[in-house]
Amino acid sequence: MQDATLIQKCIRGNELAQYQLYQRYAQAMYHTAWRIVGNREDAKDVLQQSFIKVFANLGSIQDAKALGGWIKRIVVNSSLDHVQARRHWLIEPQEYIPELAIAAEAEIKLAVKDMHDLILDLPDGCRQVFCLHLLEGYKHQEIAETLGITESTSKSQYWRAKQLLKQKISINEQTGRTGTVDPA
Amino acid sequence: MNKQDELERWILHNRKSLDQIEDLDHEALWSSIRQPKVHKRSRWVLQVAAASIVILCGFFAWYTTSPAPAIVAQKTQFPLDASFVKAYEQQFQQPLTANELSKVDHGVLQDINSEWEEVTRLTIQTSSDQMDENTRNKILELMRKNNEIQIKLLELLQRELQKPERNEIPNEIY
Repeated sequence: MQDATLIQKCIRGNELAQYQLYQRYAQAMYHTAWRIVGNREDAKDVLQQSFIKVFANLGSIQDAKALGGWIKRIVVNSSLDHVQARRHWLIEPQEYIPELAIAAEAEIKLAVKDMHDLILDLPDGCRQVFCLHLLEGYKHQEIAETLGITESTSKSQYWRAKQLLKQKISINEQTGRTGTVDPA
Repeated sequence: MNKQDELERWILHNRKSLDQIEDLDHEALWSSIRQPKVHKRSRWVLQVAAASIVILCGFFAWYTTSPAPAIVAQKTQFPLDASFVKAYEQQFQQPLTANELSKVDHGVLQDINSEWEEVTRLTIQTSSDQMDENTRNKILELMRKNNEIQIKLLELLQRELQKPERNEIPNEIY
């Protein structure tokens, strides 16, 4: 079913259509929320609140083609609202990241689940910037406006997230942690 | 986006897999969306509202079952015959109010009233003129005794009204 048709049916209160719309986006949006808020239970709460907002405001959507992006923005904003009380990351001290431990362009041999866990292990602030920029496609300027930070802060937090991830990957590989490898 | 490094390429390549780390329990979440649970922030508001409703219900229950003067008047006036109330007021030269009667146990009032009605019924039956002298004398004696009983009943109620404890029930009426 096309998004436009689906939207119209949802607005008319067709519960089957609403469930179809939910099913189409819930799985991916769950992981988007999870990566931002940092834990699965809060992610489920966020997802619940987000879809309630989606169905309450579906009539305001102008372009049916933008449905996916519109839902994602609601989920991202709800996730950020959820962690707002914990958003103290701007004053986090910069950790020393030893350059030698980072294998910048080495091939990554890691299970997807391990990468997911490593992302979740990142400090809140840089994890949010990293996920918004790389996975959700937000530009640094948008992130800056959304989070109320400067664009340069967004860029530096993104760089920091990458360095921390590379370091963790390197340690992970050195300690011989294994899993199902998902090479690029 | 600038030139991607290995890490970024790897993550973007595995983007779909990263969104499949854990299967979402669609049915559970969907039912929670259809019947949203209470938001944490507004939970305390509902708790206060629930407490208020409980208090109001409690007050209503107390109000409807408590011996409010108007309700007692209806209940206590009913078990006493009007002739008893009139005789009491004449005997003791004081009004018998519903408020006062509320101090007496309801069962005692019922006993007094049933005895009063019985004695009064006998008195009416025996006041007929169609009888001889001997019978009349016997009847007059009976009426005198009935009158004594009536006075005892009036006095009994007076004692009940003067008791400090409202729930004390006498073992015998006479």
